[in-house]
Amino acid sequence: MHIYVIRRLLQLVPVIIGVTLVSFLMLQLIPGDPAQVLAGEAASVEQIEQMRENLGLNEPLPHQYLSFLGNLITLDFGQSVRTDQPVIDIIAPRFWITIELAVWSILVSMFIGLFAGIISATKQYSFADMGIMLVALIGLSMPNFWLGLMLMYWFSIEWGLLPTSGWGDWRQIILPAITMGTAGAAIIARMTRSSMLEVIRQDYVRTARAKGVKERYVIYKHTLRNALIPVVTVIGLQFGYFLSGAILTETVFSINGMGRLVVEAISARDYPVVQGTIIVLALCFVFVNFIVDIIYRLLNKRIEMN
Amino acid sequence: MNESTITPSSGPETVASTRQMRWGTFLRNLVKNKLAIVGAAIIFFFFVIAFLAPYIAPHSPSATDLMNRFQPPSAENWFGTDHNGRDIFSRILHGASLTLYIGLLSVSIGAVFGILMGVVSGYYGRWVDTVIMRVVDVLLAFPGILLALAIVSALGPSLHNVIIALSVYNVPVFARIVRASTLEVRKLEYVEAIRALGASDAKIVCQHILPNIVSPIIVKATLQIAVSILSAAGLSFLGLGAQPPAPEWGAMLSDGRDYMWDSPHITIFPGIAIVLVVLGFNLLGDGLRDALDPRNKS
Repeated sequence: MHIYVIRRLLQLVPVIIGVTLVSFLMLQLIPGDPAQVLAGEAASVEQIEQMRENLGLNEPLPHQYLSFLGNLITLDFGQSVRTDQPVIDIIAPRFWITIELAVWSILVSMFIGLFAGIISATKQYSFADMGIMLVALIGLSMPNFWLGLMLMYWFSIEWGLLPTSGWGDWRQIILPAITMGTAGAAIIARMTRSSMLEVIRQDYVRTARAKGVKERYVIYKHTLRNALIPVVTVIGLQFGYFLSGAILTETVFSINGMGRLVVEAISARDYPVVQGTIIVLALCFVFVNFIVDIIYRLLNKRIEMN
Repeated sequence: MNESTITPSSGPETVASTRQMRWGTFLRNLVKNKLAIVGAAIIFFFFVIAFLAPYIAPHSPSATDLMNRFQPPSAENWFGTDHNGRDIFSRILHGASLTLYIGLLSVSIGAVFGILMGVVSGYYGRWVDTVIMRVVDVLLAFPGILLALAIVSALGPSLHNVIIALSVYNVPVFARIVRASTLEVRKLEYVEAIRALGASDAKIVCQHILPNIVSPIIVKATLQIAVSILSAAGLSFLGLGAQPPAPEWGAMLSDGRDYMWDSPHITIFPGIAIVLVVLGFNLLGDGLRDALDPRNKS
């Protein structure tokens, strides 16, 4: 296991280098002079020259990338063009809001997804099964920001039950968490169903039934525990996807998390903030995937040992 | 070596007939899957709309009528009018071609590059494989629309930059599955045999590997069109996609958002259109997957 963790950690190195390299090159992709871009549109010629000097933009690209990487290690993402604040100070408070939103959304999708998936699998081809799977597919086909707008219209505007925007109060969490969690719930329900159907066909489940074990026991003790292992992976991945889903959901509900930050920064052409946010979100995703792999491995191992 | 000598005389017929049989079972399985047929019908419906929009739309998609703003749905304007007095029904009809264009083009471009990378990676292996797969890992490290967002924010908001961004987003998806399938097919005995007999790499890839991996590619492409349409709508909603006055559905949602309080119809109808077309591709993709799955040969 230790060897696996170390090997998996080593695999992260090229990915992290790649992610930072892509984010670094993003600034080069922008038409025009990077110094001008980083100094902001209102900057004077001297300021731009100063910026070029400060950031070492006269150096060859590989040099620039290495110093960029060096700065990242000390959490130095540069400064905002708009406010001159260090980017990390702008990101930090918003980071936790996005994480909190993602946690609530994953709870929503797990609760609905597992419940629906189990019903669907245990009553395969029943009316309930077909209904659940159709609803899940519609959930997958819906733009989550549109779902958010519709929920906002009915629950906030029409019925006045919940606030339309903001973050902090528990009532402000409900609609965004449902908005983001719906697609995840659909994916988890589909995965739970197919994984359980696979396990139900296994010999040991048939043996358990033949022994006369009660159906409820068969489902919960023999099937569910094993069927949930691949589902864990899907849940972990969903958490990662919620980090990018937050971009749209936070925009709809005016939540001041990282997602809304990156959208605002793009329209203000505040590229250091855009770059910093994208790096943080991508690295979080890489980290979550790493954890999910380890957990998956651990769970699988327990089964092997049993 | 002469090619005719390496092919056993009964070879082509048997291959052809098994292939025909396979297509037969595939089509039977697909037709049996009613949901897949529904999906195909929905997609067909939207293609018809996309082609006929200029002829069947009751109004111009861009004609503003400031006396007729925010009209609720009526006999004259089936889906009502927007903040510029434009007919929403006509705009949705005209937007169908944009949506299909974005989805099909970005998946096609992404698939071509992804297939190329995947085949090279899986066929040649060794360091080529390592390099390509590391690139794929990096591209997949950006969750969801984040990579597309990064690219569009650098290139600037426009319809074509969204297509470029979504193409890049689709590349690693195809590279991964094509590599896995190529590895599988390459190990088959008959492929090894043809190679031992001296067939060129290009011939092996085009005649033996690609035909064998077509089905996972088609399934993935169908499902990726759904994902790409959703992502494009998201980018447009953020103001990074098609620019006004293009009747792009995501952009229409973005417009409607400001008038949710009094005129929710501006937001409701384009959303339903997106859900329907994406549902069509998802239904068809699911159906194709089931029909092509060897375990479902009952």
